[in-house]
Amino acid sequence: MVGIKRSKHWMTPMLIIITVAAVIPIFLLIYLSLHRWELGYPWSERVFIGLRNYKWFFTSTQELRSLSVTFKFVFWAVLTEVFLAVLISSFLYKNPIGKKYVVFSMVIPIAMTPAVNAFLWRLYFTPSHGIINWILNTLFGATPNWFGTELAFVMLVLVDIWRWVPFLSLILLAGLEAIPPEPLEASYAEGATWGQTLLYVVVPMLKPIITVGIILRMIDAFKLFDLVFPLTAGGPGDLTEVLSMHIYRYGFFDIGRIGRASAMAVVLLVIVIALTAVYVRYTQRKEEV
Amino acid sequence: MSKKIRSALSGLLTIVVFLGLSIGYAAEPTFDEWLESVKTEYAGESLTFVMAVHPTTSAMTSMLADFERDTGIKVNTEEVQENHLHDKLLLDFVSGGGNYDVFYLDTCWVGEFARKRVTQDLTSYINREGQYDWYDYDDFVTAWSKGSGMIDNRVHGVPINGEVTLIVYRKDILDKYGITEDDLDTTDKFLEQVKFLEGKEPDVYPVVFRSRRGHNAVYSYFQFLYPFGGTLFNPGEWEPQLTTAEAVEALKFMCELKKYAPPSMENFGVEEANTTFRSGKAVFWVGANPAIPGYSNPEVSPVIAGKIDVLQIPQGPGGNYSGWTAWNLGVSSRSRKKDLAWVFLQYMTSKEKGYDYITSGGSPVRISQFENLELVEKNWHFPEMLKSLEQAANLANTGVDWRPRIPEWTKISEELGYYVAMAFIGEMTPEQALENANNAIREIMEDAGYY
Repeated sequence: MVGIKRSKHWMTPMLIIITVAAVIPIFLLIYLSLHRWELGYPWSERVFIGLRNYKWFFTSTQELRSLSVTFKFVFWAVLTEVFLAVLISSFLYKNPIGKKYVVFSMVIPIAMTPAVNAFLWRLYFTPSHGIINWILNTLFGATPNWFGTELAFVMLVLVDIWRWVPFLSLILLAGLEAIPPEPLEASYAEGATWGQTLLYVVVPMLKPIITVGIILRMIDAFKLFDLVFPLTAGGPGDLTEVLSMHIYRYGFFDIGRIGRASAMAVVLLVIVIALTAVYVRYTQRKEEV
Repeated sequence: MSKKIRSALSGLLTIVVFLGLSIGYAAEPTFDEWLESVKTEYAGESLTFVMAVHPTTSAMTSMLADFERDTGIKVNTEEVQENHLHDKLLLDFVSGGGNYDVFYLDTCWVGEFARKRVTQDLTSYINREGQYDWYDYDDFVTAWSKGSGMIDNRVHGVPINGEVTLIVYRKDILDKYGITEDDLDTTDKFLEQVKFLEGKEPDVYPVVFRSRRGHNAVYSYFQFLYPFGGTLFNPGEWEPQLTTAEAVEALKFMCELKKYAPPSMENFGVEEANTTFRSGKAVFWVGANPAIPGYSNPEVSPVIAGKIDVLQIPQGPGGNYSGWTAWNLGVSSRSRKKDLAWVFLQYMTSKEKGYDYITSGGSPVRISQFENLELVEKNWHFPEMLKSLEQAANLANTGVDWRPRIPEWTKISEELGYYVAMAFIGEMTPEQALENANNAIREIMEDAGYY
C-alpha cells in the first residue's frame, strides 16, 4: 500500500497514455459493435441493435470462413516457423563458422517493412514472370500458379515463414548460447546423433523459450494483415481472407459497416487477450518456480 | 412630342440597346476571356486532384501543364489504385480532412456519395456556366451526363471518361483461323470459338476478363447477366432477382468462359486483365473501351498494336445489351476551394479542350467528339463505341440502370462480388452463389428501408 501510494505519481502519466491509447478506443469499439452505423453517415444516424452484430458473425458463412482461415494460418505458420527455427538455431549453434554473417542476414527480413516485403514477394511469385517460377521451370519444368486456389494459402504461409523464422532462430540461438554446454557435450560424448541430441536434450532445455515464442507468434499471427492485403487481398475468393483482412473489408473497403466490423474486431481482441493471458500466466508460473 | 424629347428618347434607347448588348457579351465570355478572368482571380493558388490509375488519367495528366499555364493555378495530383480510391475519398470525408478538391468519381459511387454528401452538388455551377459555347453541357452524351454523374436530377459528377462494355480481340489470330464476327455474334457462338481457340496459339489464352472478388467480378458478370435475360432488380422494384434461371445461366456461362482464361485470373482486376491482353496473352478481352487507344499505340503495346478489333457484346437468349458507365470528375464537399475546383473541372471537361483530351488518349464523352471527323479518323474504335452505345440504349429503354446508382450499391457490389468470385473459383455452384448473394442483397435493401 505504501509502495502504491508512493508510485502513483510515477504511474499517472503511463495510466493516462494507456487510457487514451487503449482503454477508450476499446470501449468505443465495444460501443460501436452494439450499433448499426455506416461510414459516411452522421453519427446521429447510428442505431442501437444490441448483440445482433455478434449473432450475425457467428451465423454467417463468410465470416466463419474467415475465422477458419485465420486459425488454419496460425496453426500452419506458427508450427512450421517454430520447427524450422529449432532446426536452424541448433545447426548454427553446432556450426559456428560464418555465423556472424548468417546472423546479420537473418535480421533483414524482420527489418523490412511488411508491405514492401509483400509487394516484393508478389513479384517473385508472379506465375508468368516471377523469379520463383523461373527457377522452378529451369530446374523442374514446373510453373505453379501461386495465386490460384491451390497454392495461394501456401504462398502466404511461405512468405510469413521467410519473415519470422530468422527472428525466431536468433532468439532460440541466444537461448542455446545461454544454457550450459555440458549437457550437449555429454550427449555427443555418449554417442548421440545430432538429431537425438536435438530431440532429447536441446528441445527440453529450450522449452520455456519455445513456449514463449509460440505464444507470441500466435498473438501476432492472429492479427495478420500487412502481409495479406498487398499479397493476395484475401483472394482468390476468400481463401486467404484472414479475420483482420475481413474486418478491414467490412469496415472500410466499399462496405463501411462499422458496427459489424467492430463486432468482428472485438472477437479478435478476445482471442488475442486470451492468448496474452496464457502467456502472462505461463511466465508468472515460471517466475514462481 | 417635341423634337427635342423624341431625340432624347432615341438616344436613350440607343444607349439602352448598346448596354444590353454589351452586358449580353459580358455574361458569356469566350474561352480565352474566361481563362483571363480565372487567371486574374486565382493565379498563384493551388488545388489537389486525386485520380484512379486508369488509361484515361494519363490524358488528363498531360493537360495539367497547359492548365497551369493558362490559369496560373498549381495542381497537386495523387494517383490511387482504382480499388482503393473509394475508401480514400470516404475516409477523407469522414475525417473532415478536405485534403482533396477534385477527384475521379466512379458512376457506381455517385448514389452513395450524394446521399452521404461526400460530393458537392454541381447543379448550380452547371446552370450558371454550363451553357457557354465553349463548355456546352448539352453536348455530353446523355447516357453519361444523365445516366452517370447525375442522381435525382442533381449533378454530382461531370463525365470525363465515357465507357461502354465491349470485347477487344486479336484480329490477326481470328483471321489466321478464318473466324469472322458472324461467328461471334451470339453467346453460344462466342463460347464455341473460345473453346476452339484453346491451345491453338502458344502461351495465348482464348479469353481474359476481370474476376477479382468485389466490383471486378460484378462488372464481368453484369456484361452477360442482361444478355441472358437476367437482372439485379426489376425496374421500379427493389426485390433482388438473382435466383432466376436466366441469372444463373449467365453466371454458368461466365464460369465456363473462365476455364479458358489464364490460370491466375481469379485475382485479376482491370489492370491485370489489361496487361495480360496488352502483352499478347489473350485473344479476347471482355472489357470496355478506355484501354483501346493504348492498345493501338505501338509505343505502349508493341505486341498487339495494329492487330486488334472490337466486337459488341454477343447477343444472348435474353437480348442484345451492353453496359454503360463513366468516370466523372467530382468536387469534394469538404473542399475549401470549391470555386477553384470547379474551374479545374470546367477546363478539363470543356468542349474547347476536348480535342486535346482525346488526342492525348482520353475517352470520348461528347457528341461533338464522336462527330469530329479528324478525331474519328485518329480513333478507329469510335464507331464501334457508338454501336455499343446503341446496345446499351436497348437496355436503358427497358428501364434498367446497368449498375443502379443507389446509395447501397457499393455494399451490394461487394457482397455479390464475393459470391460471384466464389463461383468462379469453384467453391460454390452458381446456384448456391446467387442464392446467397440474393439473400445478402435482400438484407441490405431491407436494412436500408426499401421494404
